[in-house]
Amino acid sequence: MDFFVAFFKTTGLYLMTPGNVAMIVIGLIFISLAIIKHYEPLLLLPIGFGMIVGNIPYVAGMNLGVYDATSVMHYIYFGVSQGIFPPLIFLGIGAMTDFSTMLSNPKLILLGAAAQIGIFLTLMGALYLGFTPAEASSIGIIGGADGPTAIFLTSKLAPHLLGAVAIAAYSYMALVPVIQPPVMYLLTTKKERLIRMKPPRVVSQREKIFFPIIAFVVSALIVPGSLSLTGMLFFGNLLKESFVTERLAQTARTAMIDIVTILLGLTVGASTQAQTFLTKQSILIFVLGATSFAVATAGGILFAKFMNLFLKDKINPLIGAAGVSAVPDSARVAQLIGQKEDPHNHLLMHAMAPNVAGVVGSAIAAGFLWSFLVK
Amino acid sequence: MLHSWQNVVNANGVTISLVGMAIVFSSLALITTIISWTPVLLKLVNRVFPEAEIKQGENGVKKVSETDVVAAISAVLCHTAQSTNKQM
Repeated sequence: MDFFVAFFKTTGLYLMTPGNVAMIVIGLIFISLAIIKHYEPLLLLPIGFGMIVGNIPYVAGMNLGVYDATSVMHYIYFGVSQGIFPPLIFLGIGAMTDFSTMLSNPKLILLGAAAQIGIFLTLMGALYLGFTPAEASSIGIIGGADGPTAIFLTSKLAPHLLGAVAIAAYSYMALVPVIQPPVMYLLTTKKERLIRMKPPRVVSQREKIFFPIIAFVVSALIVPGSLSLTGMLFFGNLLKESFVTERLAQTARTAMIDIVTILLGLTVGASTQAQTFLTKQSILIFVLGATSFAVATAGGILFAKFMNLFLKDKINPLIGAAGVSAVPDSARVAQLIGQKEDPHNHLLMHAMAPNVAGVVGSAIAAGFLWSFLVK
Repeated sequence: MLHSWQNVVNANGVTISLVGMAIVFSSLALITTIISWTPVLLKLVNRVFPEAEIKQGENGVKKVSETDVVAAISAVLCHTAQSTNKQM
């Protein structure tokens, strides 16, 4: 009998805490959202399952979790904690992104810059609440709506917040169709939502090849801290657009990004062990993250309205909301809301311009914060 | 954690935010300017080195425009009709 009692004491059932149960329930919610609602299933499903994996308790000394130095999960998590996975994901994103709409209407890039205001206002909010500058920067970057960028910067500045920041960033990316529409309706009139934009011009192949090289040189020279992210993004795009490395581009945008996404999602989820995750700090990070997202959306929309004061060919301000990265979900939201007003108004191609510019903008913002706060 | 505006001041929060926003904006504005001028520059380059058509599909197969496809089908139909007429 003593044997069975001793064995029972080593089981997860005995060691389970209410916190573990709560995290497992959250993991199940993530999985449900991915399967039933199709909210970012490629991310939410691995993260949700990872949360369950990370919250199965075990006897101390068994070294099973991501924070145990010799565990398998720890070795996989190394790619997250050392910021290795995010640049690899950026390589894949670069290899699958078509910058044509952005190149055909370059002024839309500025919307991607304006939306980054969410990062910096949230940074101030986090400082106000008592976070250190490094922690505040990691929280602010959630407003960039770019999971890999948030993980990259947090792994460099505030590794202890990695789980909370990553989960907040990916949760809000998945909730783009829920968070953005109220802000978009609040800040635009029906007349503005009905604006039709000129179709983009055809972009030559030489422009497409020229762009990743020059954009990388400019961004890396101004903010060397963004080198790993923008370098991989533009390198991936050059692989795609050069037409001479099709095999490499194909691998980067399919097998490689898929493998990295699986490893990153699972281990980020597994890093949310109740004992380290369920804290007051995490709740504040979630609140600030949501604020950051809403402010970033508002920033893009308001700047589009500001630009319209000077432009002959007006911009539909809805596409300003796509400046928050979250490719391509935020562009899709702009398209959906535009089509609710006018079913024949196709905003998606226009919204992709600030959307991809937002990716570059948030990488530059992360690079700046890293350069500024690195010790 | 103490909630205070003094935390923002002590950490140079306002400066970091303003400088950060300015750097993001100026970097993207510079990229915008360069992209805007690229077609003009490439027009000059194209005069010296005309751009070769290098359209290529995902499988390494050359992409063909719809016009080319229609032209090819028309040519085949025309050829078939001519052959049929000759046989008749």
